[in-house]
Amino acid sequence: MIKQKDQITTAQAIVYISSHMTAMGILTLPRVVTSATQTPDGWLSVLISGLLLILFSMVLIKLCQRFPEETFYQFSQKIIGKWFGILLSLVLIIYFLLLGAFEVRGMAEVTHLYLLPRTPFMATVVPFICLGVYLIVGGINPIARLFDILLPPTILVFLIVILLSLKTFEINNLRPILGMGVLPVVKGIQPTALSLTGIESMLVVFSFMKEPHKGIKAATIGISIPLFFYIMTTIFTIASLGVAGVQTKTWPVLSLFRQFEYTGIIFERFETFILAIWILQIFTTFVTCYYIAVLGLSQLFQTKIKPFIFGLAPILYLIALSPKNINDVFHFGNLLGYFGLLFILPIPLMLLLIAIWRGKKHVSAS
Amino acid sequence: MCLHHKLFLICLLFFILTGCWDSHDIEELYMEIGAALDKPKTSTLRRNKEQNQIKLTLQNISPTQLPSESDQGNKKKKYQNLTGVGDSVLEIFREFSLKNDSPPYGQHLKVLVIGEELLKEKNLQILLSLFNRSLEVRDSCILLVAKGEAAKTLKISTDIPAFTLIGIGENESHSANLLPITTNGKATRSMANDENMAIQSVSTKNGKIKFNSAALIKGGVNRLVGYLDEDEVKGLNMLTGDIKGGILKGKDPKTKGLIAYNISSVKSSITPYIEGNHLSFDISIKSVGRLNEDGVHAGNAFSNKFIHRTELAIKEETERLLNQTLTRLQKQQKLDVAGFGEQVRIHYPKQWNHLKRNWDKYFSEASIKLNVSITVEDYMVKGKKEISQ
Repeated sequence: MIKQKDQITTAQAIVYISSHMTAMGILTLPRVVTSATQTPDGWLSVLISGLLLILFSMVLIKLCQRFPEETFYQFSQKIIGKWFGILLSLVLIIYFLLLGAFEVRGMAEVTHLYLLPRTPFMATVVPFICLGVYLIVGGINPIARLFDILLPPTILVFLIVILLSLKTFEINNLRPILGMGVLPVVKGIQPTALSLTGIESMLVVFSFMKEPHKGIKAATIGISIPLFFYIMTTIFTIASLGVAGVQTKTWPVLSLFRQFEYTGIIFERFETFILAIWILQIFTTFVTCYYIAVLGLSQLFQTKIKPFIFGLAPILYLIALSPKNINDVFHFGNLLGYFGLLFILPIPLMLLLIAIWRGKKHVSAS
Repeated sequence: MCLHHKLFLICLLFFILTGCWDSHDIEELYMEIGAALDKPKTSTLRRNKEQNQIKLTLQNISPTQLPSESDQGNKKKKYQNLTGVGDSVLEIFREFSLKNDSPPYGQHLKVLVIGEELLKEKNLQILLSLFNRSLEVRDSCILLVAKGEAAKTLKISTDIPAFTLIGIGENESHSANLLPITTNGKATRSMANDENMAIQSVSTKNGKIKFNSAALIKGGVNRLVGYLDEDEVKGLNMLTGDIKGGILKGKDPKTKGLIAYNISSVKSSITPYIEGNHLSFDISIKSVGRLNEDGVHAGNAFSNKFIHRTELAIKEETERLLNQTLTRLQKQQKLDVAGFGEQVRIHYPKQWNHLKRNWDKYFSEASIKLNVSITVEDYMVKGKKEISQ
């Protein structure tokens, strides 16, 4: 079913994972974490949950490595039987659809607020989805190549702008480290779920990897890049806004970049740059979700992929516009975070154990 | 590709040509550059006292309004001041759009001055809530407190008053009497923490302006409770170490001549100690600077003896300033604006949770030990005035 040319290199897999992980979560992460910790130690929570995630991803990759050329939709049927497999696959498809729609909505909210206040939602959402359709018609290769192009400017702009925010950096806001003991850090781990989901895309994308044995390496590096973003963002935002200030802002990270301006050089304000690269990263996440969902449908029904691509677009639009207000959007995001975690640890672990127990393994055709 | 397809694609290209939904023509923008909030005079109050509690003065410039080189002669003002009264800031803004063809545009608001009368009565957080919630005004907008009427600070006789205010605020490297700039974002952060604040305050007289004191805002209620005078501001800056320049004047212990010391740097560290119920602080202030001017005729800066004398003189002056500020903060205002609480939070995070609610009370009872060290590094290009002997 997968054509020979539909393969991605290990480097592309790394870029894929990190592009998928960097999304909505990063803009609200400092607030969400600090609300739980109530101390400046939020960045430690992010670090710990990132390391845990790398650990979890090994289970997931191990499972995929037993079936190197098959997607989750195919191997789950082999492991737990046809009907349970289809059921689980449908759940995964629904998850990715919801996540994709959520990213679109988040993009629309922020654009509406910060960039284009008088432009209706439709005018930003429709082109966004259409571009996604255009990209995924080409399959995994154009997607992976586009991600390759988008990641370097993202890292560059992010680093420059975050270092410019040193102007309002106050080290006292980060002190004391572990002043209230370890408990706040532990409390902060759980709310990072939404930001750290993304590795579950490997359940499907892994089947495209040219060198499946390098899966763990790809996952580890792929997670480390966004993890670095997250830790930097959390540290700088808390240092600039303070523990109490972070909790009062809707989009603390964007508020951080509005704290300062530089006069005398060509650009005075920098949040626009962050928004630009952030929208690119939202696009990558959205495209991945969309692609994985339609690929799943086509594999489940064993039909062509194109009708699903075009058919899902209006559904995505409707889901994206369904949350009534911004708080609903945030709740939606939280739920998705936990939903995603389900596919990162418990389900792969269960499948892996059953697969080992029943001795299920991919038998190569040769 | 058939003709129909081509035509369709060409038609699609028109979409690329459509303009931006949110475009504004720069000629039509009235850019706000300064704003002042005041309490309206009683005569403008309506019968119901709940109405019209805020008076807003906006200073706008417009690219089309700026006089060209040719009509410099007829002394046209470069800015326009708008005034309105209402219950909420947003309401006043909406009023402006009923009175002007193009509504004010807030992206470039750089300075916000708040009148003392208003700040004594109203919570600063509520006054700023529109500015903080909306996106037009950035968090980097500067906050000032006006002694007297805030609107007057936007009417001083300079080219564009708002720019003058910003310019003076940035002169920190020339004077030790200026507080570091309080931005909207910084104030919001302090208020979220229920921290006390010191904000630069300004006074106007006969169309002239001076930055000469600091307004003390009590955290929690976020109201103006008092002022620090120029010397006390200097002392406060010493305590926080936020000095980038400026001079200290001392008296030579031997000849009583004047000694002016140019501050290059100040490092301060506040170390809290909690022993049982007793709270104490060690303050260590280290300053490096240069001898800039002296009125000691026989002073010979080539010899270390004289340098030590100047150091002693400046040390005395610094201690005097610090003690004056501390007395004011601890005994009179009972308000911690110098970051003592923050040091307790950092060094004793667990105890801080009990102390923070009544922090100002504990602070006023704490004992403080001062340790000042002054180093005169050089004396510029002239060492002495006469050849002695």
